Amino acid sequence: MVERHPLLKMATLALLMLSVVCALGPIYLALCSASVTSQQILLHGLALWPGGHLRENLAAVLHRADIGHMLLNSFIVSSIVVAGKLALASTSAFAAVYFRSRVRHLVFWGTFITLLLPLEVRIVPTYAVASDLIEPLRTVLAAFTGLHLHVSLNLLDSYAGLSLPLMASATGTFLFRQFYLTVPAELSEAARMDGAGALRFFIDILLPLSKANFAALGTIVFLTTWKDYMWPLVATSRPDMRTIALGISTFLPTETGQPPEWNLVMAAALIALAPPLMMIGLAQRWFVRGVTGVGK
Amino acid sequence: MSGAAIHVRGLSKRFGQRAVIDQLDLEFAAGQFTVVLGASGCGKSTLLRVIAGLEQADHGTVSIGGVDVTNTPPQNRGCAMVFQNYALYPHMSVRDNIGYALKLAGLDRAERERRIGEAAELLGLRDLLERKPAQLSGGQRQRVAIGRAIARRQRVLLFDEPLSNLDAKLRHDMRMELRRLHNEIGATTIFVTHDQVEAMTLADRVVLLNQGRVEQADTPIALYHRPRSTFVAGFVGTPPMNVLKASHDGEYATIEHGGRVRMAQRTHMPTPVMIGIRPEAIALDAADGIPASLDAVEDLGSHRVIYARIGAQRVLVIDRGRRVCCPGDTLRLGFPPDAICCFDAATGERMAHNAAQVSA
Repeated sequence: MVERHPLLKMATLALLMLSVVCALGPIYLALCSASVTSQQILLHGLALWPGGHLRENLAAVLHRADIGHMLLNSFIVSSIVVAGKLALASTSAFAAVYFRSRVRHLVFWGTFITLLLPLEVRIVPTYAVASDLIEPLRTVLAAFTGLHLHVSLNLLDSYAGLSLPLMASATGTFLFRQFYLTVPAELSEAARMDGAGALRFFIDILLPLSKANFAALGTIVFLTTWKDYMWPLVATSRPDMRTIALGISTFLPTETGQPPEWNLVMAAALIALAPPLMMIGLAQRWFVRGVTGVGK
Repeated sequence: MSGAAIHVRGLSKRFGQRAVIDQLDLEFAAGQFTVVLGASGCGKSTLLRVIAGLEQADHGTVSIGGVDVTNTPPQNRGCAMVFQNYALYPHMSVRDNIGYALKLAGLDRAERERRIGEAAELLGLRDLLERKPAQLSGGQRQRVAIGRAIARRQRVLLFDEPLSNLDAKLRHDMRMELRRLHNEIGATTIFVTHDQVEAMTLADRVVLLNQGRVEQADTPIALYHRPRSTFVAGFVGTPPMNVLKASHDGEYATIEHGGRVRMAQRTHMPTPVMIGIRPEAIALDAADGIPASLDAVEDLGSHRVIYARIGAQRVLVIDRGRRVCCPGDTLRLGFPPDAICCFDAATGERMAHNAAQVSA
């Protein structure tokens, strides 16, 4: 529905401007505060106008912490999660839509219900599993057979431990399922007549058609993983496994009496912000298509 | 490439409680063009899909070229299919759409290119090979879908209402083209449609389905002139055959609330019947005609469709003459005896030429 009315147009414009201010305002404040000295912030609060110390603040941040290594960690973890989640989501949705089975709905809704259990809710058991991947199996074995395994696999402080718990989610499966449902059934039948098996159909027909969905989901997952603070905080203790989101907090005071250096915190935040911004810039066109469902 | 005969035996298919196909026995001769005709929901598409292997039958067998393929997956049955909405792969060019099956079949590049070229030549797609389906018109997409099917050189070609998404002019052109293609290719062709014009113009043989059963399987001309039941009579022809309630006695039939018509067959006992006659077979002003009142006239230029009534029964007449007709006129309708079909009033089935005599 498109209404054309001058008043409505003004209201829409005002709403849009408000959203822009809400989205860009904090970034502007961070940029300004990152360009002044620590004393200035302590005296006057967050800076409203840019100062002349951005360069030296950034240099100080890079000098004091191994920012490059943290960025690399974040990038590796986010990439693993993106790859894993896309692979899992697209194949599980394919199974849910194209294979007729008695348990199909059970499996799909089982997957769907995990939406009710985000990582924050299950962080303790997830930590327990990550600290020893074999533990659940060992418990089950011991309960049913009395066998005791003496193996353990600790995933804490590893890339696997940082990424695996974030990988499986129902949102991705659901997004792909909804897209597959819009693909005409004749297409899969035509492929069957042409001699394509299930896997061929998936690779040759479905994957190229869902490029936009991959881009959209990939972008979203990359961003959420990049900015995730809680799980890396819990799952890492070694400094060299820290991600950039944790890195920012190293500039916060750890002892009472130590003055907070907000200018450095803001500068670190700006550095952390740059890669996701670039990512969005690159994927924007596909992202919009994938989310709005245009241009299949 | 020559066609393969298809045999369908004792085929039944239910969706839930509803029997879509019920104990169907059919043969499709090798190289023949068969049109399966029927109203929507009569099971014609299901029949095609069972033959293609896209749908599993509950009972019965399908054999192609003498080989039982009831449990064979679709790609190994030697069938190619054209779908109603074309089902082209949207991300592939016309060339790749046609060549996809050939690639999967493991043909080398040169052979693929040769076959794609041949199909494109046959269907006038030469200049469109690099385009994507979204850049094609409806008619062009349909051509690509047909090209994709014939490039595979299968012994059986299946068409599922392929022309129903095209406009009238294009439909006409594609009909001519399909017939020409069939003559060149010679594959056994099964063409499903609800459009009787397509059935009349394309088919060597028409199978008319009604609620999952074969109502009549015949040449188009036999279907038109010698319908086996009132259902066939009412389905085929625009406008369809007139079917009037009457009683048959001796050498005459008396139309309800109307006059008597001489019949080609005789009875010895009064029998309630339905008599059928094509609108174009009726004469408007016959000397001993049956009085009918004229309700309305549709002038189509080449001919007029005249809506008349004998008593309460509607009669349509196609007239190519120039007689002045006004609503309210009284016509004297002449029914030539050899144009009349006689149906059993109870079952709706046509009575054999001397069945009435035998039963008497």
